[in-house]
Amino acid sequence: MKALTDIFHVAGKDLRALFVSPVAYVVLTGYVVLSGWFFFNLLVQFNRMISMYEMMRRPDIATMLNLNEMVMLPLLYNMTIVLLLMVPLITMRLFSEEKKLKTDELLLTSPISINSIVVGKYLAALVFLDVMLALTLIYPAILFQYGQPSPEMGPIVAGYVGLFFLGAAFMAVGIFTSSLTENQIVAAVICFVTLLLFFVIGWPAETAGPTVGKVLQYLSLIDHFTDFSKGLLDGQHVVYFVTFILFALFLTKRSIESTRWR
Amino acid sequence: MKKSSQIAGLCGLVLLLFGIVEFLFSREFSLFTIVHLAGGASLVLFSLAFNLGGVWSSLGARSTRYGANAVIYSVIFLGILVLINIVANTHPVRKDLTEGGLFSLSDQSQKVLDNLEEDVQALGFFQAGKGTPLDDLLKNYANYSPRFTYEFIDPVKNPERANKHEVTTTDILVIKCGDRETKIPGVSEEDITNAILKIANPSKKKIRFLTSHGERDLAGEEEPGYYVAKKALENENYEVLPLELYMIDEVPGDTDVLVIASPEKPLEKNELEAIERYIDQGGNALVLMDPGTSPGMDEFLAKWGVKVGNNVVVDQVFRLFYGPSLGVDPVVASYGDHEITKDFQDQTLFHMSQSMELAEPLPAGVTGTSLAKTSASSWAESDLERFFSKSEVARSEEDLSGPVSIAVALTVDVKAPAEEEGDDVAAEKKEARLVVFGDAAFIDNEYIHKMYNADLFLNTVNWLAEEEELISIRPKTTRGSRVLMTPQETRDIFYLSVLILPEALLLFGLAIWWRRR
Repeated sequence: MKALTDIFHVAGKDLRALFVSPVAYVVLTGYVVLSGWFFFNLLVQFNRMISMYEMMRRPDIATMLNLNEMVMLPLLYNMTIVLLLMVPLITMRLFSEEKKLKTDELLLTSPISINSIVVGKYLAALVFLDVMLALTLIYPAILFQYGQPSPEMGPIVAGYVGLFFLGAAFMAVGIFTSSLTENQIVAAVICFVTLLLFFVIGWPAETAGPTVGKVLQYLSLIDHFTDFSKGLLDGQHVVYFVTFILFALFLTKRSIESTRWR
Repeated sequence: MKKSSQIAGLCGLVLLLFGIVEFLFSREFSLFTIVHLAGGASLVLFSLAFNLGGVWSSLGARSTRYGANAVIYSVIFLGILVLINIVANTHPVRKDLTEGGLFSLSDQSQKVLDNLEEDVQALGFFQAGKGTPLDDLLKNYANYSPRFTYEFIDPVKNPERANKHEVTTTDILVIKCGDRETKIPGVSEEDITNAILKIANPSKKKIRFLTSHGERDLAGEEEPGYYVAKKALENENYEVLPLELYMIDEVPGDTDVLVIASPEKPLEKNELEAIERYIDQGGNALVLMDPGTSPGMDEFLAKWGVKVGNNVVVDQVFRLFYGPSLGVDPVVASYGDHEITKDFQDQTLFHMSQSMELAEPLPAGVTGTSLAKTSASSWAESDLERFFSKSEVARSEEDLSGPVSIAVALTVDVKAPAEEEGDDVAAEKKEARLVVFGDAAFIDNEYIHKMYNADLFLNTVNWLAEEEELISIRPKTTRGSRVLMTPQETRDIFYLSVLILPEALLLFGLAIWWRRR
């Protein structure tokens, strides 16, 4: 189908542009440096705790400690924060660059539909996200290699699935803010602020009353991630993330279209 | 003028927006709200007034129409997405990837939930509720059965609701079904499912306490009273009633457990006969005695092979700050091989107990075992005169040597029932259950909360009332795992995770950048 080839075409072009710029490598390196640092420190701290309990002659507690809850779980949470910082930097250029270089007019007048353009660029962002996450797979790999016994596989898989959905949601917001302005910095900042808002939107949930509170809590992105990190694949969270992404992409399309009649 | 009025209009919109947001959160017309809404509205109107012509033409312009279109489409699309979320919420589809099944209910819990006929609510009076393992556990129940709902209530912030359920501390879970409730401090799946099991049964089993002979007072809140024990039984969904047997001559047929708690006066002949009939027809009884009380009970119980010792069990444990005790508070740590004490590992504290043993051989149709034994250093002091008058004890040859049994549990085969065709439930009973303790104080208001006395008491009553569906479920945890690293391996991991990967990326990036130049 034409639409599909268009999408791949756009995605390929943007990916190439992305990986040619230094931003991509700075982001990847930064992400990997931070994650690696967290991972290593968590692991060392965990080992120290185990030897402490064994010295206190409480081997029963020492056997209850496990790599999933004490290393992978905090690592995943730290990675969500780092993602939140890095994603705006990747998505900011997706549309802003085009506007700046005025190539957006070329794009809009081409036979490629706006839908395909938006989906194509988003696909490029998703591939980048996959690369980022794939690089961090080395940490659980280390745990499995050196672990005796090794950690549970299930929660780690679920955790990464959740991380992927969360990152995808972040990128959807990023692509939308990028379509709003030609200034990449502004796009990144708006994206960053929006993501943080969605992070903390659940905080007043207790005091805001029963219905408003529940709604606010449902909107919180991180609340939908927690079950994944514990090892649960829940369709409800997947639906939330998918609808979230769909809406953001929808808004992106509207925003692009509006340049036509603005 | 025109430009500034336009800006004024936009400012007005901003004021309106923030005023609305503030109202949504505070739900009252505060000064902030009024100022913002009024100020915003007036600025907007002011700007409109000055730009009326421009506004009118722009309303008709194509761009506005497109804009309005976009907004409407967005709202509709959003509505559809929200609907999809709501639908997904009501039809949960979950896959538990944990090895221990932390997000799935055990088969036993599922069966209990399947058998529910009424709705069950769980109220968690915890200060930190959401996100805790208890939240995940309760969510498992709620997801499995539409009859189960739960909520967390902070007892500090909602004292009225806490009072309504007689909750006086934090960290209590109330399980409610219809007008019955029970409170549990436990947060394990076993505790919750057992509580649901108890509560879901609309009929309450009846426990009758014999009265009128100076027995322990059910309503008594002073130290020797049984008020706390009564409340504990009611919490297990039992109905606790006094029984004036001498007046009615017959133990009511719906009595699930008859309790005789240390009568000080002897029982009348018709009462003893009524009790004997009750047991012979399959009734269940708990007899609690005390040295120097319950006159006549020892002969009565001998019929079923119970050997009541005319003594006081002494265990002169050296207590840390009190010196050697008189020793009449023996601690029991070894239990018999019986359903009541099957997994019982904890210690219980008794006060002035007689020895309680089984005759050998036991009468026909009777099987039983000792339930609880005191320590090996104890003995049963039979010189009661010396004990009561001079508070002295001395180990002698005739005294029973420890470990001394102070409780027995028996099952008695029921004699062939009367030949009546219409008999339903009574005829089906195959056995009567009897438990005798040599001490009635261990469950009074002072002693019931010491060590694990309450648990032993409730286990006993549950067995007597044949509440055997209560189950045990292993708690679910994440499997233990660890990494054993030599210093060399630690260094390797450091290189691998913190150094090599980022370094490779940077070099790669530099290479690409250089190629581009």
